[in-house]
Amino acid sequence: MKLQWALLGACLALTGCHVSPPSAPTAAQPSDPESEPGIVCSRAEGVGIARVLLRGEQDRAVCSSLRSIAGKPEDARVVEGDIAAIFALGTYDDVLVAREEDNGERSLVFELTPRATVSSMTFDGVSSEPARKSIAELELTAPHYLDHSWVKKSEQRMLDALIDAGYRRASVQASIPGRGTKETALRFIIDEGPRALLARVSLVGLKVATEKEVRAALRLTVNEPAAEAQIEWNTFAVSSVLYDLGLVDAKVETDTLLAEDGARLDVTFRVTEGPVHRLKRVLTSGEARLDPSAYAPLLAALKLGVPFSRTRVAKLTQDIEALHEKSKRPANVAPRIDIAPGTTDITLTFEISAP
Amino acid sequence: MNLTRKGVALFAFGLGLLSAGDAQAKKTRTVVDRIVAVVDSACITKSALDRELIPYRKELGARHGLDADARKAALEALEKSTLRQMIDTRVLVKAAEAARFTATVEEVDRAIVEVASSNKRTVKELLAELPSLGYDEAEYRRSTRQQLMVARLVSYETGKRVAGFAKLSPAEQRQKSVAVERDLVSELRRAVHIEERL
Repeated sequence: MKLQWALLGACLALTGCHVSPPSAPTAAQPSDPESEPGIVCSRAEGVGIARVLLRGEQDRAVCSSLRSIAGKPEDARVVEGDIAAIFALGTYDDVLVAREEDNGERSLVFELTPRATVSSMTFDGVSSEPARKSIAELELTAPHYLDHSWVKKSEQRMLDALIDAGYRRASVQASIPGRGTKETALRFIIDEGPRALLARVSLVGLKVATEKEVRAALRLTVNEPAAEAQIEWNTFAVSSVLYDLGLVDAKVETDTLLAEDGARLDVTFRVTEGPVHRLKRVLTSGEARLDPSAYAPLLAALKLGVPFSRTRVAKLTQDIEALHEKSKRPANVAPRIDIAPGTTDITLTFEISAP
Repeated sequence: MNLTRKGVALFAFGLGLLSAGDAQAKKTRTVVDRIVAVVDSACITKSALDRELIPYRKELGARHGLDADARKAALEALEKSTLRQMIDTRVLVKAAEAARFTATVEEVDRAIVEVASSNKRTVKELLAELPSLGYDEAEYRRSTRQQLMVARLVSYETGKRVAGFAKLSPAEQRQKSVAVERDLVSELRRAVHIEERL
């Protein structure tokens, strides 16, 4: 800045000299390492930033991610956005922005620390075939650049796969070298531990529902591993059986007990049935209804006074939708149940609306 | 007084020293911004942290009886805790987005009206104060939207995790929500890559 004022003074003293207005920034030019410490993304004369430089990177493609531009004033928000944009490229471990002033010329320097490249990826500690298979099925491919986020997610994916395969005490730990190295061999250290197989499935709290009908809905096999998702699916299966017996307040909790040696798993479904709810009335409502008599043959399938069944209602909902399709008046059908306070009587209403 | 040759030489040498010193003074380097934390593939910058710290810095500045060392230590602790809060917010917002919780423009407007009213200000007055708190309106709206999304996520998780939540007193509900949010944050933190680089 001082230099500019000095030049201005000299120009005033001499004739035929003028100070140029700030020029438009020039596009990125090939840098001369002797005179330019880094790649020049943009350069301008006059006020604002004189140069925007990149250091730690030879590829000027990064310049296109920058909104900081020579010839404009430095803007903290823009710089912040530029850092985020460069980091989001996924190829740099660190980005630092410095302002350098040399004889009044201001440069904004983006100092980039590239991420290490991954030279190889290994999985150590897997000894049994099911564990090996569960890891192999993930089809993990080593990323070109070391991505800590990917590593973390891969650790979790491997752990989930091992647990699903029965290795409930497994652990997965990536070995990552410190920052600053250019190349790294990525190593996942796996301790699979014992494989837990399903030993026993128990049902507790059944009164109205019989154990036989609930067990018929289960998809769990003794002496096989039981994945969490599988256990969850079976919890819903138990609930579905109960709901079809009018037990609409039923709650199912699942306990899994892993034996001390980690090789045996017991699953218990704890049921609180609540009262049996019965179907008292069936109604239709909504602006898209057909003539009520059109529904009568379908609704007759639901017997009043019997325990409420969600499956039967779901089937009837589809039948009503099909009837509307057939009548060339398609509609959305949503069943709603109302329980009169202090009773177990259910009023079922099919709400029929235009799609 | 006549200038001797030696005198001229010394004078020139002095000028040389001066200009060298001047040149050195003109070459400066200042860090403008840098990454202070990484949350998966996103980063938090020092300037974003500094913006969050504005109200706390004011508060700290108003505290009397703190010597320079104590003030520095308090500021460092404040930076650390604020950065952790920012990381927690990022983690929660990410989870809320993944679970597809949203907030509409109207809901954000309503929330801003509520904030203004609870601070005994008009919306216009509140928005006018934002720059002094390090925000611009767009950022404040984005932050409000994120807060609404996170509140929905926490409310959903609380309902799922706390049996009979609806039957609890408002004070108990608040207590449970805070506990669920804390648990949720620690679960989410375990699932993402986090680096603090203060």
